[in-house]
Amino acid sequence: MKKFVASLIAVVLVFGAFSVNVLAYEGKTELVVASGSLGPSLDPVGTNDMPSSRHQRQIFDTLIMMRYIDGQIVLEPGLAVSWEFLDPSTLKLQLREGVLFHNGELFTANDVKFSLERAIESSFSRPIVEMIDEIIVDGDYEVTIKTLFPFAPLLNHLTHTSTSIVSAAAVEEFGDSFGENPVGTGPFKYVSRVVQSELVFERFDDYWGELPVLEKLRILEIPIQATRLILVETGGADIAVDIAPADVRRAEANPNLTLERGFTFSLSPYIGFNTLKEPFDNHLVRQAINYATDTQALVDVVFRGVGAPAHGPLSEMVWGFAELEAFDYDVAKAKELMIEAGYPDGFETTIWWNSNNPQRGQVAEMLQFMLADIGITMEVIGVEWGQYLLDTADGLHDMFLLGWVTATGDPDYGLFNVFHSNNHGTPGNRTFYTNARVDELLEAGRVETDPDARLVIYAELQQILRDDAPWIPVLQGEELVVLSNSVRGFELTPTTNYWFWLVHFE
Amino acid sequence: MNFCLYKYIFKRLGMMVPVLLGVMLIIFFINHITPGDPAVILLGDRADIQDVENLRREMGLNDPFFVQFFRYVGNVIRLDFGTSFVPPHRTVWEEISMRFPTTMQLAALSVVFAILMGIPLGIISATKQYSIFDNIATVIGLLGVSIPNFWQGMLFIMLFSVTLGWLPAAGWSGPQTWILPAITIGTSSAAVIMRMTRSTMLEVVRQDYIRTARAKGQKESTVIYKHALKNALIPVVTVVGLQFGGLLGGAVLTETIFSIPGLGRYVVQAVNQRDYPTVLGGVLLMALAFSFVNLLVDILYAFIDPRIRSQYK
Amino acid sequence: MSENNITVAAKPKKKRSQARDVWRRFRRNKTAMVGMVIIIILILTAIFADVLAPGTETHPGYNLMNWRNTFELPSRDHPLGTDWAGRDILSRIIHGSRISLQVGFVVVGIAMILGIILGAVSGFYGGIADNIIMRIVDIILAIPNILLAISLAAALGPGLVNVMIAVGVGTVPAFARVVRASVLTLREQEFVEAARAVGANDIRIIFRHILPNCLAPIIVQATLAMAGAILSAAGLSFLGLGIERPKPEWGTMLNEAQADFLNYWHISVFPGLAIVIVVLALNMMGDGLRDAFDPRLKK
Repeated sequence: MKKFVASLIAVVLVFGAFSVNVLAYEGKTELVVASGSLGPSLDPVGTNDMPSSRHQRQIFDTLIMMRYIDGQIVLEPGLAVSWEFLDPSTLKLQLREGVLFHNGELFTANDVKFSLERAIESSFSRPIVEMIDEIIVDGDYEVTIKTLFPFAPLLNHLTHTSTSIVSAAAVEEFGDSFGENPVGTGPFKYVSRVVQSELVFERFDDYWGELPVLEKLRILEIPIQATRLILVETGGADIAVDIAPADVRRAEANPNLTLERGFTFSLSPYIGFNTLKEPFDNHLVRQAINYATDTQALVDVVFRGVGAPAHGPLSEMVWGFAELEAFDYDVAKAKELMIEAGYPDGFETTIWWNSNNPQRGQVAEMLQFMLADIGITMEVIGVEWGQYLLDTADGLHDMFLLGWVTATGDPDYGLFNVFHSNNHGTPGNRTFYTNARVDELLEAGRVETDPDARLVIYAELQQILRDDAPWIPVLQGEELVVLSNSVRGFELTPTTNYWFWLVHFE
Repeated sequence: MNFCLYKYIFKRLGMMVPVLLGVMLIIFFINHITPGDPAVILLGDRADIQDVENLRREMGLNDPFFVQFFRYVGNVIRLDFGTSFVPPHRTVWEEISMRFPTTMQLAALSVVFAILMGIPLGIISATKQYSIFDNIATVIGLLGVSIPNFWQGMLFIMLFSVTLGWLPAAGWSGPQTWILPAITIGTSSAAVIMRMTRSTMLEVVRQDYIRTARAKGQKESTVIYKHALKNALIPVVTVVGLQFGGLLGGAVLTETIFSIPGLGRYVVQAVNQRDYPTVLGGVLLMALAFSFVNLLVDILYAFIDPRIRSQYK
Repeated sequence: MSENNITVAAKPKKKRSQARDVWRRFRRNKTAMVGMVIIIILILTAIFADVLAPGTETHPGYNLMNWRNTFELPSRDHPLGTDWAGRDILSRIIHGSRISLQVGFVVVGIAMILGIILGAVSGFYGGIADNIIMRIVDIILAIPNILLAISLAAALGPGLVNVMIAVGVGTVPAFARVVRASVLTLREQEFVEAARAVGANDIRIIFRHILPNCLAPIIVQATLAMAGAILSAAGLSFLGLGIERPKPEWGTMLNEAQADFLNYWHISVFPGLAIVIVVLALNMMGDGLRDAFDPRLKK
């Protein structure tokens, strides 16, 4: 018996010996952020997910920075101090001098060339930089970017984290593991990462800008939304991002917390039709389904009124957004259109949703319920994310749910990939929508340099896309961030790539 | 310990090899028939078709199934478990070794909880058969094996983290965060151990040598703890070993609910992301741990059961 | 020879009285009877789900949404409250019993058949067949059940049949082991020798003489395995790998409740309770059956 107990204790001790990582006490110069994910990589060209971009933003700078001040999107100097277009497809930038990388090296134009060329090579970041033809180093602090065609939104693209400037020397040193040894010029530098647990940054004391008050930034991975809120409630974190709409009431009821909310660049989800397939090749059917869809109910029930019903293909935060007439929920009208289209008794179809996003499942369920009113029998199918992307790119779907984030804030990025007929499938046009006039306008919009002329182009585009209805736009995205009351200086931004270095405590 | 016991251990370790090979084959096969293309996963959803095809060739994904399988086995023998398909593309070995300790810690804590709850309750229940205590314990025991642990976890968070505010709802950073998940996972094992202890105790108590001991006028507590318990524990130890597999499985769901950075949650995520090398490595390691614990249990057995011990003299 | 014949011929009679004995003992076990009553109620609920929670022409009874009435706490109209879409949770649980029972019965049915065949072959013939089958059993048992189910569910995709397969594969080994153990003890018994002596072939011996005599452990195992299958299927659905929406699988209901369980207790408590009650009832029955089959355990 004694031996048994002794052996048992031995086993326990062996396992217990693995016990490590007890968290330290938090001071007031340490900010703890609860996030849904740490993101798979800190390499700016290694992923294209939202959490990764947000965390990359803390340690890397871009040439130009996008900031959101008093409801306006402002482009501020980043590593470039000034810029001018020499001609519509040539941009010359003056670079900031005396900037140091986290490894102590001096930042020069060569790093810009290196970083952008690297971004063009990666399939994750290519969509942001594929129009860049050549990067010419004119001097240590002067660089010229030539694009393949006049590309109006280039400045916006240079604010995207995919164009972050990395240390050429560090990339050469670390190779494929640069994502785990990221070296940038940003206000924070990377310290450590415990997978699926926490990411630790500390202040970079040689930062070129105003030095943050924070000395340490810790990001915790808490996948369950409700738990993130609990963490701020109980003092385990100072900020929780991506709060669930379901938790708004709880957050608002708590006097020790502040709930910050604001619209984002996201239009997610939208309901797409496979316009190559019968009966969705008929715009009357698409319109009928638009009329039969009570988007307000979707927003109220699934998203608890967070965000707003979307009426067109762009987020209203995007430059050039046009107010469009909504398809009001009108079953009678929908039925008329179905008869006109030749489907008086409806039809059978399917809708896919990606099973890692439960809210989309709920949207699909509600849509199934709504469309029963116009005789459409719809099967709801949850598909694993990877498979979902592959099969929707191959056009195997009937109807589907996806979202689109116009990360650059410019309508070109929000529409070109999604509706141009050259971009069927993988590049983003998963409705396989084909419309010559739309193609024409999309091409005109990206090369036109006069902002007023662009506004006219994009207004017409949005009107066509509304009327022709390859989508049912559902939700204008809204971000929800919970702050502990001692947090000051936090700014919302429609990219959701928050500037945590502006935060301090009071 | 002596030479024969070593020989026995050695033989048992040898028997683990075909089992682990089989585990690899099964998981490899399941992954093989799982829809989703590793090359596409690696390159991201906007990759060029030609790039994908080149990568497929490079990764040997166009080779026949058994060629791929034996290549994998060959690599595993050299302790190369491959590289994760998902950024940041660390080696599976690295990824797993970061998480495995947490899961083992969690499993060990739950075993301890299960034993500390199960054995004493079982003994009391058996010595006071048909008492109210016994009845209550029986009901609790039945409940314990019937509660889905993910639901129990949800209730625990609702009650202890939110309503009462006693314990944290997430993470793995110190004893406070260990309590709820360990109890959640350990509950069903505690119930199984309790039920097992109770029934073996009842059986042992009826044996002749116990009657003899009683007849010799020994104190009841001596009879129970010295004579009965020792023999009753033998089957209980086996159950504890078998429960370990269940505990590792329980970790899969419980780690998800409590946001614990362990192997179980990681493997589930890997399954969802079609990160096959990680799935293979993770399941293999769990199977290894399970087989290893069962071996330990069998050795422990030899310590407590004189009949088995005598075989190795 | 004549003596042997008597043994063989006398068996059915003995079996009938044995069954009566078992039932008599089972009936006296209150816990087991409660379990059985619950299961009978559940089966009736599943059969009459459409009567108990009727639907409309366009929508089944488990999917009657009402968006003006979401997350209502239990009330007279909705004894267990409503869910995110304003659907009556009680109706969903009632219809969900169909799914859980289907999963339970089909999984156990198939696993039992496979397990019996494998276990019988393994126990009866021994040798290489036994070795191979038992190694396969060891291999499957070495993989944590839920992980095996998760991998299989990912490979097969969602859907009722796929969930059954995913859960079923891990259920077979236990049956095979139980049957093998019984067959091993039975195969040397006199009546088997007798049957062999009168020229019965192997299959006849296994099915006519051996299996009927190891029904007890098989039935007990079936009851417990059904509890396990329902739990596993709920776990898969909880992870979102289960049955398509809007079908009211109880685990799916818990999955849907995940986002709101802190705000509305009723959406997670009741589906969870439904699982616990059914699994508990099956375990109670299983225990009772074991005791009834093996009178040694009871006084």
